Amino acid sequence: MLVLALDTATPASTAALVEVTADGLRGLAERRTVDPRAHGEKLAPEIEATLAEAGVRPRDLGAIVAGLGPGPFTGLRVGLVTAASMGQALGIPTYGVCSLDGLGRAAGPGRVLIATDARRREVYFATYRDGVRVQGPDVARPGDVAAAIVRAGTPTRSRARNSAATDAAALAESETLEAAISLVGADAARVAAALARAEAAALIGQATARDDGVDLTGRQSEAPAIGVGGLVDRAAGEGALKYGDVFGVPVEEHLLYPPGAALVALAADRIRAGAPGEALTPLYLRRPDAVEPTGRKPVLT
Amino acid sequence: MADEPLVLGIETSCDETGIGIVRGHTLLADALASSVDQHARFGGVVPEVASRAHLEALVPTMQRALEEAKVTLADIDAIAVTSGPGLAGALLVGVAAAKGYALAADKPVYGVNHLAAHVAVDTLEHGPLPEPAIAMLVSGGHSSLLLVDDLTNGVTPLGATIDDAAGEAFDKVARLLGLGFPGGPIIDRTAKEGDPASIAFPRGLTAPKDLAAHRFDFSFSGLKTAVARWVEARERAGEPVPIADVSASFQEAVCDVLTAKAIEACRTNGVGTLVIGGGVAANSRLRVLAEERAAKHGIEVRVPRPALCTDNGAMVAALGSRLVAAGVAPSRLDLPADSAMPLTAVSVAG
Ligand SMILES: [Zn+2]
Repeated sequence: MLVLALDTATPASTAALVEVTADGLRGLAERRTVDPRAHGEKLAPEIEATLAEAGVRPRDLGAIVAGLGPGPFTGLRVGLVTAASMGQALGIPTYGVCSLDGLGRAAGPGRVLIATDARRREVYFATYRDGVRVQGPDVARPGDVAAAIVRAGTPTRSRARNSAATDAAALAESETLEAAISLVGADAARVAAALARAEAAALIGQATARDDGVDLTGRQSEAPAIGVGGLVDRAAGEGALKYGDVFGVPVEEHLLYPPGAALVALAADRIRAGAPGEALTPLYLRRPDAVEPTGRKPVLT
Repeated sequence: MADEPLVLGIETSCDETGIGIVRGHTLLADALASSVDQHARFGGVVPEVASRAHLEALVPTMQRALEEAKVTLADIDAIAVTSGPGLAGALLVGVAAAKGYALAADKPVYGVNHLAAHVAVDTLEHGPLPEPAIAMLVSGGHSSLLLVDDLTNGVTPLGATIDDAAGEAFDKVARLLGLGFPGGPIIDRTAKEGDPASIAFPRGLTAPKDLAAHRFDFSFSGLKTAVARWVEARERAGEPVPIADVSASFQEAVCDVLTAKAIEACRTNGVGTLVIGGGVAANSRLRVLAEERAAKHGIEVRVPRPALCTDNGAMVAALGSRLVAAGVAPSRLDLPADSAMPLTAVSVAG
């Protein structure tokens, strides 16, 4: 079956044509333009050219796979609405997959961090072991990714915040360390311990600030940036390249954007089984920036 | 007539996801999904919220439009889509969808101007538009006076608001009076109980010195501030605010300026037809006053029914239909969304 793959979750607009057979996948054509503001203009001509290159007409397609992000919303929606409208016009199913998973799968064996640029000096990220997602997807500042990885792998119990800052510090250090050792091995435990101390310090800082009458609710204190060495072996994705100095692990520079064939591979079981298609909803990891108005502002002063 | 082009129109420039289908001048379907309720608590349209809603609504709205018109995408001759002006992220959803449909179904796509579509929609109700005509478009997003010589070719802007749009003024005054969002329909209703002559609110850009530079331009910011000051002065004095009188007097000030300038534009250009479109065209006082004043000068006023005045897909299909009939070349697949699309471009050249 001929499957069209689309992804616009990164600065790249990707269109790929992949043949799914009973026992494998065969990439037939793939096109990509890297321009964070051009998804709306480039994607449709790219699809047309990709199909033309393989001598395939749209009505020959049997399914469409689209990367659901996470990614900057405006560009992401271009890929999803294009996939949805084509699927509707052709009467074929559409399947959504996590765009980071496409990169994670393509990255192959080992422990890998996939990070893409979330703008505002943040990354969308997830971790993979042998191509399979372990944690995420999530969004964080590059310097906070290590903490987020450890926190995600730590039992909820130890994440409970005790109102007494000293109790919280002790709890965070002992349990995070313990959890980290069981989760990622002794090698990563040093990172976890450092994180726990940093978190504890932040908690103490917040508690102190609250005592001083300063409201810090909803805003975590600045924790020191910590690399992801020990937690993963390497990283891929354009976010990993951009913030390589923060992460401090080798970056797969050839693997920056989700490859079409990897996206199709993630949906291959559903495609082969003829599973019903799904509505394509972006992985919105951020809420819209909108503030409800408070009382009316007087114009007379 | 079955040989007239069957055109589908997609509109996503603001908070309405609209898909319309027309054959020639005949409206076959006008499916609409609105995210207005999601914006109400913010007191205005939130672009990101609107874009999310468009993505969710597009496929089901298309399904409803096709069912309503009893046609399939394969039957469609051309797809028109609003490529601007409007909210960039919102426009992009519609433009990308139009391309997806066009690509999959092998149809030509026309990127069209939203304002010109507001003018074209009148043909669905009143038949071919006598040209030249004057068009006045008044909504939460626009307040423009246009000279329409040939709608398929280009439109000459005569004037526009220099600050708030007319509909925006209705929204802001409604909020000021605690009446809710959107403000247009609520003020229209509230004003019916009030005296439009009770408070003399200012008429923006009508003084002789303003007319020299802004003959056909509008300004509603000063009016909004005047209403706010008047209301606050009342509140500070501990007196009740006569909501109905304030609504009626404010509405009268807006409609007075709009109709006076529109009629003047017709007379100056020797034009006998005035088309009014946009959400504010649904205002009952605006319709009455425009007809009263136009009748004195033998000018015909054409106002589509309220559902066609607000943003919808039918208007885009109506303009697309005119473009196809006039033999205008379609746009290309790299058609951009242009949030500031100028009126000189009725459609994006192929
Ligand atoms: Zn409009």
